[in-house]
Amino acid sequence: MRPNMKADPRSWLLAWFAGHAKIDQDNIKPDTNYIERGLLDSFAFIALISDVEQEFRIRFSDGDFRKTDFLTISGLASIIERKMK
Amino acid sequence: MNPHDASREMVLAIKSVFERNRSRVFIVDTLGRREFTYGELEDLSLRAAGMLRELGLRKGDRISIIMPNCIEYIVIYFACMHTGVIPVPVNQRLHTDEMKYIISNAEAKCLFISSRFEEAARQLRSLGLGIVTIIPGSEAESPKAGDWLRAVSAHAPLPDGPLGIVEDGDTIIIVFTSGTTNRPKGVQIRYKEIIGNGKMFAGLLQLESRHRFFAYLDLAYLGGFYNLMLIPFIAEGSIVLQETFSPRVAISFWDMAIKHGINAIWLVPSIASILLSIDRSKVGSEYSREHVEKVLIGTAPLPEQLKKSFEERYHVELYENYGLSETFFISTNHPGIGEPRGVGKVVPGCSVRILDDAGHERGACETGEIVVRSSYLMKGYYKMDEKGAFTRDGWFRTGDMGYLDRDGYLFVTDRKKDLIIRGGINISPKEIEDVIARHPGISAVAVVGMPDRHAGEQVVAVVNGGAGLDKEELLKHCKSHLAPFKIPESIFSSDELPRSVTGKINKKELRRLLLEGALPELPARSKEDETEHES
Repeated sequence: MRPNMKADPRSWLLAWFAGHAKIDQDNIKPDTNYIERGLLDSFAFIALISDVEQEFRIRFSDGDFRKTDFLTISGLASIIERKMK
Repeated sequence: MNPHDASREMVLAIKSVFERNRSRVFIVDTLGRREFTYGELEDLSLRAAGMLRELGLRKGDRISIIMPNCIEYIVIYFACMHTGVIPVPVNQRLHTDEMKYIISNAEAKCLFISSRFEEAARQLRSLGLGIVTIIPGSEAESPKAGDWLRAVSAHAPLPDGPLGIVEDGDTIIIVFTSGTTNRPKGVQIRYKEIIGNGKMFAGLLQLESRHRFFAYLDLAYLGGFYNLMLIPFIAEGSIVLQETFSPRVAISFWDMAIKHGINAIWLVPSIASILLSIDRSKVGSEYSREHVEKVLIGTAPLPEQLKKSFEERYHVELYENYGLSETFFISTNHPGIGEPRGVGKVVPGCSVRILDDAGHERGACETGEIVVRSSYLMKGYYKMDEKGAFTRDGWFRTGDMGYLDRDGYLFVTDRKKDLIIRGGINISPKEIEDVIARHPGISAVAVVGMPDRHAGEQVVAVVNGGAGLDKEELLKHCKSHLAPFKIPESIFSSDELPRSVTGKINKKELRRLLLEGALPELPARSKEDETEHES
């Protein structure tokens, strides 16, 4: 489910995580590694990538996926902001 | 061949694979960063078998295993083969209530559990069985921290030698699988059928010793145990052992393939879809064009467009196959039958008929239920009757709908049984419905699989309940009884669930209503409501 709002990447991402029924809401923190903590399975991860790309009209590169920043809400928000410039 | 050997033909086939390949690498363990030859695996598993014997475990006893993919898992599987002990793998992601059900139902005498699941181990102690905590070598903080494989290496091997006391008619594994009932059923699998099916399958697909597979399917399922451990073993090939498919594996998929020289890939459609979506460079496509020889795919329906896109991008041919835990491979596409079509041709040793609702056989290209007679059929469900699993004249009902075309290719078109396949994993809607129905606010519930762009299907619940019912509370209830992958992705509400004339919920109609967007989502309790309630 994509949050129905235009917002800054960080707020949008927080809303995206909050909108996912399966995610343990108590563990959603901006600096939590959402992969290490098992918050997203591979289907949710790919949905996140696809929803972000659609929302912010950007396209991640192979290199983006490899950045450790990509795996936290704060880090991902920074990557999105850089790509939007 | 002496009479004793005749009852051990398949068992001796495993033994001879060890004998022929002692110095060749079988496992590249990317988690523990080590390689294991066939000889090393045989030695370690014989020593682990000695440990099982010392624990008092004997042929026919059952043990449960709760571990992530790791070399220790494979060592235990082979140790069971040497001792005749029957492994009952339990998916690490299940809720502890679900784990308890499987372990109790299998009457396991001992549980081998990873130190990673300390809390689950604590809760499972109430079952009163022996518990062996395993610290995988890849997770031990230092060699002295209790690395289980080190202890195994120092143990005396089983004196009976490799596979010394098992016969083809013995059970090699019991796999619990979600059916249409509310509880999983234990499928008992014997050496005779699984090794026979594996040898036949490896022959048809021309899998050979040069083939190196990427083993990222969960070892707790047949996808990991059979497709990506036993079949590569039977083919005398090798495997690159990885954690179960995850975002991390998806991101590094082609890097790993290149680094370890992987040339054989076993996919499920959802993984193919994820790989296509996440791949943003030409590296994978170029590597695949030059080096990947076999790509096999099954466990869930494969959309035609996904097949075409994957084949075009990676310059490979996808060999789609079809089978169930109870039957192994029923059909497959393979190099010997020309152009791949549907789920391929019915394999040797197996016969397929298509039946209408009255049980009459249908003609070519006519759709009906797929029923099977096979020399590879399971021994039966463990301590559970098989009522309804067979036709009156003994054909196994797959619960899938399909047809055979005029050239004998099998096509699977629909599902007769009430089942959700999410990312290749079978989920019983009835199991989820029973949990939701236990919530006091619910008067009726139906759970269905709805199309999902990557997972194939997602779990959707439709409930009829009181005005105060809220989504968060219902999800909390689900989370306290179900594994995460079974929790509904969405919950909708309906004042009246559509029913057939017999009063049964009409899920076909329900899916139509959901696709049309005719049902509202169950609301989450607003913050204002909470405040009012609290005051």
